[in-house]
Amino acid sequence: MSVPRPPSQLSLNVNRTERSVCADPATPLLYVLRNDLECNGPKYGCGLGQCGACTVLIDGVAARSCVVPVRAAVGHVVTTLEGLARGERLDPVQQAFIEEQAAQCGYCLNGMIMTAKALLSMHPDPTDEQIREALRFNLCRCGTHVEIVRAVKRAAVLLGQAGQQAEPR
Amino acid sequence: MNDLARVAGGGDIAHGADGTMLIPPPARERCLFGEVVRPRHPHAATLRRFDAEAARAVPDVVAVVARANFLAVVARSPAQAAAGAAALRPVWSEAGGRTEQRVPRRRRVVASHGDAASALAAASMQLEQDYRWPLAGIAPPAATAIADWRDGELRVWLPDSRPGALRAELAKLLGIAETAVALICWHDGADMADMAAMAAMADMADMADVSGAAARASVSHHAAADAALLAQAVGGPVRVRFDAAAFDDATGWITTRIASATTGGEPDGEAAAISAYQVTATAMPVQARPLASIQTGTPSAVSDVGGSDDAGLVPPYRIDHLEAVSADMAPTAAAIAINPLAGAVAQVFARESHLDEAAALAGVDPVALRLNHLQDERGAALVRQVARQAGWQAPAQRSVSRAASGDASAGVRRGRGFAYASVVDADGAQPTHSWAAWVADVEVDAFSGEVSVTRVTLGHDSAVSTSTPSPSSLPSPSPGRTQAAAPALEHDIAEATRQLTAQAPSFDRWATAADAATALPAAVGTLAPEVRVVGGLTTTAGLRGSAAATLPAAAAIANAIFDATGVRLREPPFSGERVRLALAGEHTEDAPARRKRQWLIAAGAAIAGLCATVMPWRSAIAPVAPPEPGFYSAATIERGRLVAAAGDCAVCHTAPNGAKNAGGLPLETPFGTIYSTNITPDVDTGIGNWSYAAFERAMREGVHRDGRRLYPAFPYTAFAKISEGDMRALYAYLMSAEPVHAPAPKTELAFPFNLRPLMAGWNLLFHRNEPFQPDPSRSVQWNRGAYLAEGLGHCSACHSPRNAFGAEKGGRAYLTGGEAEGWEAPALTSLSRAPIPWTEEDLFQYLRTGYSSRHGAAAGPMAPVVEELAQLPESDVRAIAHYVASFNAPPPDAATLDRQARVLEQRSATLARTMTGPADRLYQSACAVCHQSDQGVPMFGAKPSLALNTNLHGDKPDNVIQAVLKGIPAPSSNALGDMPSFADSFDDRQVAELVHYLRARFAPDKPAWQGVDEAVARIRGSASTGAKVVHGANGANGAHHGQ
Repeated sequence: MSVPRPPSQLSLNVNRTERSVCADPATPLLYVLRNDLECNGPKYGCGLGQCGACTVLIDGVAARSCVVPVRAAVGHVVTTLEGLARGERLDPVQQAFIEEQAAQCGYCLNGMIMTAKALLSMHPDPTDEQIREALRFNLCRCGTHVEIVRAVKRAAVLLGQAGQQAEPR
Repeated sequence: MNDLARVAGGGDIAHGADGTMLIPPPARERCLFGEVVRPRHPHAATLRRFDAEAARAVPDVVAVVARANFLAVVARSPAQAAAGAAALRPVWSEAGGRTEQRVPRRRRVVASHGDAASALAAASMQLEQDYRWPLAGIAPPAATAIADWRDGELRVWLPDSRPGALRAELAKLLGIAETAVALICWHDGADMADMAAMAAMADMADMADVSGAAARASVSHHAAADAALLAQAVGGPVRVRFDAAAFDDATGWITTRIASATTGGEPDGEAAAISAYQVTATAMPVQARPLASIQTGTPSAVSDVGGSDDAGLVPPYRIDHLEAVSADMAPTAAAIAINPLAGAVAQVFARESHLDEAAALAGVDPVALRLNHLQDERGAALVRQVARQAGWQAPAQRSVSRAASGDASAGVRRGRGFAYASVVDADGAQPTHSWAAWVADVEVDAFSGEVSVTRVTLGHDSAVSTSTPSPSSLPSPSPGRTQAAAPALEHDIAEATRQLTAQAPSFDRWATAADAATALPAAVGTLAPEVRVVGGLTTTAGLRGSAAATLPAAAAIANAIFDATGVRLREPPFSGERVRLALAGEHTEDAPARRKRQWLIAAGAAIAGLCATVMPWRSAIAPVAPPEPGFYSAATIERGRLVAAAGDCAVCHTAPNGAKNAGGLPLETPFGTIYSTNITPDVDTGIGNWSYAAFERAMREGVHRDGRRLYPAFPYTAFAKISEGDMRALYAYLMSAEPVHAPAPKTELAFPFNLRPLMAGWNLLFHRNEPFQPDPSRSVQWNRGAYLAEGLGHCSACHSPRNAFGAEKGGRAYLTGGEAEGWEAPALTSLSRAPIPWTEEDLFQYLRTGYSSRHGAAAGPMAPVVEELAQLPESDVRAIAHYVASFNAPPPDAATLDRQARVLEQRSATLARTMTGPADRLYQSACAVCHQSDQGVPMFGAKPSLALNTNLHGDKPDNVIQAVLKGIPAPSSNALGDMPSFADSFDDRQVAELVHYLRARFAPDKPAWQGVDEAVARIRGSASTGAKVVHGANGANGAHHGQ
């Protein structure tokens, strides 16, 4: 049915770096990020776009990388968990999650942090209600929801203190 | 700033001929974009009212500019400007009407000496012919200009260096002094955008103007005036594109009748000469004022604008008895894109074609014939130089040497033609005399008639016309200069030849890639002619070069086509269709006998067709050797590639992970599984030994080369409509592909369907072998869409219901919905169940990108169709959308559609509050993240709305079940993600519950679906047979794709 697509050389901008990969353009972005570019922040959870563990930012907007074909990311700016910190300095959102001890098993945290990052770039000072709504499609089976909401609140404070805009790139 | 002052005060368009002072236009990011709104007859229309508020409400719209009858929107992006313009909804009233269109012609004798009439009457060898030239140029031109307004000074960048009265007109339009206007020659296009390219252009400034785009000259003035007006209104840089295609009246012809008498004419007779020459040209006068000036009611800056253009009517040859007459038509309301040079172009084409005909009639060398009459030494020297450089031989000698070298290939006929022009251009500050001579080499594909210009040898020379130019002043060609000029000149020549050989608008015309792109893309480079330049390319003050260099193009190509094929084309464009028809009719004699014979042939063909259809067995067509590589011209193969894409050949003839077109894909039909065949030119397993006759019979009648009947799963019922030219090109394309040895699995249907001869009866009942007939009452676009949709695209194969014999139902049932491979193919007519009516624009978006936000994504068998359509030019996809939309009632306006969409969304949101239970939890966990735009965070790409989804409102649940179970691979031209397959995570009961939930929540006005459980089981079963594996759907299983 579909004419088979040969692997092709694709150029991706991941974490402020131009990367070149050879892949079937229909390959999920997640596979390329983890296997070819060694960005293991995004996790393989359900593979169906349901759980959110694979969330990355594309042009600053949340994306479920397990259902986004890699070709859709060409020409856009991809940011993974690895791309948040600047050198040794953690992103305020990461810092807040550590300070609030928001992890139990930690598998969902990539998605929680990246989605929170996307939220804070739109709403620098969200209400509890907005945080819950934003994270409603990110699943956590350990039950650290309360800590996670607190972490996002703290992240907003840290961001405000840093005086910097939540700049996703 | 000094430079600028020089530019502003100078007498001409700033060019930077010294390579230092060219001013680049403002960067695209800094520019605003203007969209001017005009009625189709802008000269005659008065603006009554418009909705400025609606336009200002469009995001990123900066200003609405209205002055008298001029109306425009300025915005931060072209798309927003267009959206703002659409929101204006202006109302125009047409004043005056067209009362004065048919005014008697005025005859004027332009030149006369000797007694042409009596010399013609007395001559033994006489030739009289009409030649026609489209006034607007061959393709309606378009141009982009940028204007910047700062501190009371105007700078305009426009793709033209022949300002004429433009500076004065712009000054008048803006109410400023002429010295405050700076005009800068500039060419749009990515390659010209950066400074380096601009500097390079400065170096070839004189050549850049040759710009085959003489046609661009007048539209660039319209664009410049529009941009200037808007720049002044917003006080910053504004970019405007002017497209003449938007107007009705950009047509009209110059007709030139030439009668001549030739004496001499012994074979090799050096003494052959034209003794009498009589030319009468009929044309509309040229109008040169910018539209913005006319629409704002600005008085003309120049008292005598335009006027009848007699340029080039008098031949540059010494002829004893001569008469030249110009007969004017009254000007029509709008002659928008009239090219100021059209008169000269038309005359050169007519004269140089005629001289070639006269030479052929007398049996003499056309170059020698011209030299006999050339009194102008500088011109004659140029002609000799070009002929020498091109290795010109008299046609008689050439045919001898061609036969000797065995060059007489059956597939491609080659020929060359010569033409010459010499004009004095009084448009600039000083009159300039230009000379140009062309030798064009062409290849004509004898089957398709497709013409490609393979090489052009061109000589060009110009001088400020003072008195008689000194014959000795011919400058020698300067290699460095020629080098620098090459890209621009090649571009111009490629553009000129492309336009000349383009097809006339017709239902089987394929737009080339170059039609769509602004710059010539690399793909066309292979088809562009090789260009050799000889002669002096002098830079003169004031006018830099001129469009004169491309004046002889049309005649040189027409003469070359005649040389190659014996077919004389007396009006452009020299389309493949015209050449092919002329070639087909080349052996016919006098008309009445021919007509009678044709009638007999037609009757015979009809009877033969009838017999053939009923005869259960057909004879085999003898195998032939595959054509040699290089047998078909590149242009024909390219056309065939588009035909194949439109016909979706590869969709069915390629197995999953198999080689393209090598067959083997299983197609499930109600009668059993049919395997597609190998259509690569492999001799053993493909169609390598199929002659064109065999191929055409298969395509139109459904008969294999060996005489076996094919099943109508192969839609020959639709392919019968393919035009002859397209069929030839398709054959050329398929036969030029790489052969793949791949035997296809044997199709074995159950009795009685395994009896292929029965198909003869089926054909008699259900198949009409008739090519597509355009409907003259419909537009060109509609007919193009109909041809693509009914013939090649075979839309109805899936979207029309079929009867018990598996034949499509026509008439009222046409396109009312059918099925394909376990998917429902929805109705495309007013019977569509879509909750929001499909508009032409929605159809276009869907077909072009695979997704429409108001309807959903292309899935199942439609996905590869969209993928193939991506290869077609945008205009073709628009034509299909236009045609399909014509089956629906006219949709409501955009605001109403948006309101309907909001109501539907609101309805499902309200229902959601009361719908709880297991199915709701399934929806929340599996679907909502990607489909609920009001929940969660915004996601990259779109969140397709289910409330608007056509499938959820359909009569059958099949497509929804298909999508849930098998997923939908992301359309390649869209930023949508894949929809994953849920076959492995939901059992049948869950899928059924979810499907019922979706229907109840998103289509509450529709009855609940029946038989969902059975449908789920059936569709899951068909997925496991592997007959159809949706590409990409497996990716969700977690296995890493091989890389």
